Amino acid sequence: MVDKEAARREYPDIRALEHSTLKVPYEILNKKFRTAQKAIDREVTNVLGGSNEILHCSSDPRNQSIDSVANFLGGVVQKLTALKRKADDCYNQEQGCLKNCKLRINHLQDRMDQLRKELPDDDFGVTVWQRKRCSRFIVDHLLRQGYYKAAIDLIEEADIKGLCNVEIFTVARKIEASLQIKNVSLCLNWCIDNRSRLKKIKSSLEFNLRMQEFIELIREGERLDAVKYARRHFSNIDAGSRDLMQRAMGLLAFQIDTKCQPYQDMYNPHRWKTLLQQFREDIFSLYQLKERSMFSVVLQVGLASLKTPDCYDECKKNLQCPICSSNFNEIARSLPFSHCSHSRLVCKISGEEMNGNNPPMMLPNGMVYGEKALLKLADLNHGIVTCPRTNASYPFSDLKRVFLL
Amino acid sequence: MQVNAEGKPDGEEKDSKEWKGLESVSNEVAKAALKINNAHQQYYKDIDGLLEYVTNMHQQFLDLKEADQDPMSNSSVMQSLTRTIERIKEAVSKISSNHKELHSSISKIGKAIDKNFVTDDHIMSKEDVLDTSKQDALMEIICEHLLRLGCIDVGKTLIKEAELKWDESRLEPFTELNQILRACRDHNLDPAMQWVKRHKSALDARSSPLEFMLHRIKFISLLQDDEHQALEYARHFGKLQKLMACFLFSKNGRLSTSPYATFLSPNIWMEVCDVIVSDACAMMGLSSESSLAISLNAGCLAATSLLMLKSQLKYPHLHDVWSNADELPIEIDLGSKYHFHSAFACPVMRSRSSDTNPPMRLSCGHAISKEAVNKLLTGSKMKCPYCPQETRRDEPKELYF
Repeated sequence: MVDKEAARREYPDIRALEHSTLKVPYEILNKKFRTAQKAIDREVTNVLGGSNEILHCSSDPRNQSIDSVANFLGGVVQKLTALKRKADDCYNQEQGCLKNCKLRINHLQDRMDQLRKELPDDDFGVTVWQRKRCSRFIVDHLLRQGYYKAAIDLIEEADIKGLCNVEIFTVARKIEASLQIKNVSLCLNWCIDNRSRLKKIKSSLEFNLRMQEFIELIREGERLDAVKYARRHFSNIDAGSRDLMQRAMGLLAFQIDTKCQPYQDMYNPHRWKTLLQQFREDIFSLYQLKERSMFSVVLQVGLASLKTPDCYDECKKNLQCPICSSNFNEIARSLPFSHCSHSRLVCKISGEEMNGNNPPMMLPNGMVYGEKALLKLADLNHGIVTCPRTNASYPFSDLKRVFLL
Repeated sequence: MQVNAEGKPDGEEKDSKEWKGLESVSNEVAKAALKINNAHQQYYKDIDGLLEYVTNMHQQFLDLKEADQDPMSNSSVMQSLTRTIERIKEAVSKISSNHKELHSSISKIGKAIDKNFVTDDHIMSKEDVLDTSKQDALMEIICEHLLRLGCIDVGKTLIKEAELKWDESRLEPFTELNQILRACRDHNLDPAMQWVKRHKSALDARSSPLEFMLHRIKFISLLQDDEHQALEYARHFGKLQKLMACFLFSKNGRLSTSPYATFLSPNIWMEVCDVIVSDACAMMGLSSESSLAISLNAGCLAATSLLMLKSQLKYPHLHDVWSNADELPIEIDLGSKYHFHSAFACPVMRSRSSDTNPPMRLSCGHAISKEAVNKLLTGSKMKCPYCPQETRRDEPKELYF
């Protein structure tokens, strides 16, 4: 058994569960920073280019003219203004990201404060925080499934704005929608935008997208265009993809309805589904989103820790137990049972725990209930208790205590 | 400060194992924010200064042009032009490099997060039990949860988006509930009161505190407006007697410093909403708390315990158990709130009871499993492992929890 006190101090639940909550806005910040640096450098290059023009102009005796210098100076002023606007925008965006990080940290800090104060589970603040956590998990899962409207509505209702990673999924959704109508351009732009990071994770997405465009050109009968396309985009590929390249070139020789493998596979429109899947995996990877939602993981662990053999025994169902209800019952079927090395007993009449305060009492027929509930029954019926399961009646004095260790 | 045996300040040993990860990350974020703010401010000065300078130069040239003078032959003008170009180059390079320097502060944030928060959730196997075939059931579960929360509109949106096969009749029992909840959120108790009247007998059978809670809220809000009305109201409902002392504090808003201050907090509305949901669902034959919420909260507790044990290297291959559908290797104590079924573990054999191996009560009252009884029987008697009393062969009684 786990020492609860030590566990709480060393391993508060946010340590185990909230990595994504903080990492994702960090990755967004990182991306914004890199984009910003590129943009600033671009503008700086423009400005430097403009200033060089002035230098050339003023040092070249043949081309000296007040007009041109004045114009170039005006040009530099414009470029500086553009730089100002751009850099301003970049800084503001970065600061916005950091604000979002801070918002999430504050939310998690609330939880740390609750844990430190060791507030009970039914404390109002704790309940509210846990409800928000449930909603966050649900929203994340809904976003992953593609149910964006429901997710956004729930964010509004549950008051968890800023705590959910909506932006990434909004971007993903647009690209996925375009891939579904067999258009690669949005996805390609995204790949080009994120080229360096995709390279780090050794993604072949860009290559596969180009390959698909190539295949589609052949499908439409534009073989010449396909060859031109191949020349343009497939000339600098690495050795690893060379085999694929050759196969692709071979495709030129086969008709769309060929039965010859692997060319038949290459013409298969199912490849679009694979591309979509690959895109999802890559974008998740870039933003450090796990492939399974926290909702999914936590739910499975929760169900396993609640699952008992009684849940699958028709006569032992408990209305309050989640696993006993039909949907959960099905889902939990293939999960492991909870482990039990210490007895814990629940009175079937009251639902209360049977322990020192409410000792288990055995009726002469072997049925066991909590003393509190039995006393209540006896009170209402002149000292006679009737077992709710067998309908047998006994005087209270016939009941015997059961001792557990 | 008290000092313990090792000369360390008392309480420090406890604290040294305490997790400070969130503070760590928070510090890095604060540092980065400070740096970016400063860089931003600095950049403003730089760019504005530069712009002004270059604009002046430009203006100078324009003026000279107007005056029809040839600046090219004016060496001082040319010199200042050259200087300007130098300055531009310097300043914009500085702007770029200042921004670049921020990178290290930013990446420190990422490192702090990775260092302090658990990154792998490999408490489970790669194979997902919740595969696509189960997604519909999952969406149904989520939908039920939303309806209980009072988010019927979100539920309807989800039904449409996920193309769940739910017809109106399934939503109907929740429509009224949602109306009542919505009204409560707007601090309107009437629908709730009417509902309570209609279902009074069922609520009384459950010993529900709902009616009292509603009256209490009404009473307190009347008290703040009009004492006489409050008194009239209290006369109607005898149970409000315990709140009569409120009148002592009702003047000049002293209620907020009285022992009755808790009844002023906005939480009371949410509390009463919770009781309404709990009662309404119980009367519909559903569990009184959201099953999904129970499961998720249990999961959070369990996942934390599992990851902690994993980090202590007690169960490095935890994820193997998920594919065997057997039993978790360790006990996770969730607390009595999550105990819905009795579970008996024999103290002798250390195994869980089953239909073939039920718990038995010995004549002394101690409970052990049938297997243990058979094991301990010598001849026609057995001695209880926990007390000196003997039990005859035919005495142990099978227990049904």
